[in-house]
Amino acid sequence: MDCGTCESASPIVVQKPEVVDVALTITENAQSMLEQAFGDDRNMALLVGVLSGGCSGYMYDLQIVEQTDIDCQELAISGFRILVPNSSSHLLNGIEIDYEDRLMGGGFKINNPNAQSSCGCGESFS
Amino acid sequence: MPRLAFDDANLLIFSGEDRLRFIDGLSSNKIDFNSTDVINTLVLTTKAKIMAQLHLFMLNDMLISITISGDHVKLVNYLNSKILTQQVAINDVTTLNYIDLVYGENTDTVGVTVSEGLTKVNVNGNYGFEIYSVKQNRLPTSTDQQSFINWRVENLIPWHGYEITSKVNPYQCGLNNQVHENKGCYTGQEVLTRMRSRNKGMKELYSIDNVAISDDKITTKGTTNSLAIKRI
Repeated sequence: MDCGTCESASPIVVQKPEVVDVALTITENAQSMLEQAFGDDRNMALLVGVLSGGCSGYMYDLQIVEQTDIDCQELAISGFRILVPNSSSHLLNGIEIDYEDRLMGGGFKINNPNAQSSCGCGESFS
Repeated sequence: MPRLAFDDANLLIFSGEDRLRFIDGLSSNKIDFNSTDVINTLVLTTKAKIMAQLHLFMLNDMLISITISGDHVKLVNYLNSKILTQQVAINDVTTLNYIDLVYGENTDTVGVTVSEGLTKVNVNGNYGFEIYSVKQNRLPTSTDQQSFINWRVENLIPWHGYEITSKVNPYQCGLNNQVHENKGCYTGQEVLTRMRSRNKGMKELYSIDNVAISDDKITTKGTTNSLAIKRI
């Protein structure tokens, strides 16, 4: 087999999605949960990302980080640092981050106006 | 073993540290490699229709896919749109390689072996692929399409463009063994899980004498017997 790495086979040209200036909102419930998660340390940031996979093709990925190597835009919302990767910005513009306090299926939820469909667990969208 | 030139497949190389997780999230089988495994998996739409079949194996650090799909450009665009922040790069090396299909009784171990420029990918003991550089002479074909079709009918092997199309899901064309029932979420999973739990819409492939079935029910017509699909 010829993998082409010694010669000319170049990667498939990836069509980079347009980078959008993201606007997002955080509900009061989500803010109070973030207060608990961050404590007084406001150097930490909430990274709101998207990964491939899930029942509908894309999955939300929430992480608390201090910094990241990912090319992100940084937002300041109600005193919280929010990081959104530029490569996912077209999928996340306009989202609302909510928190549902339920025994089953509770936790952070993303309400996404860009999603055409979502899976039952709410973690995946397309 | 009989050999056919197989020009319907594409050869993709996935590199980058997230390559396994990336494919695992987008396909129906569990991507969990031992070194010489071949993993057969399906890329599905959100409605669980088949977009492509991937025969995956590892060579050094590269994840390689013998990819069969009705629309390769659409598939590659789909995969590219899912990379986002993940460390994944996709190379298409189809034009650098010949891909031959070999089938029939195969005493080789299922998996991948490489010798003298020939990469043998034994998919399941029934059939496999041999990949070699286009700088070598193409190996001669030793069978014809009708013989291959008769062999498929005899062994109940579904094939692309016949049983496997973009209009069916894996449970409707005999690819149940390429759906992992216990892995996490992947695209199309909800539909398949619902079908399985409700036992609704499941179909199976069967072989039948040509005189006992009308042509419009046949998916693959062999010389004396044919393949068809029926509801379970």
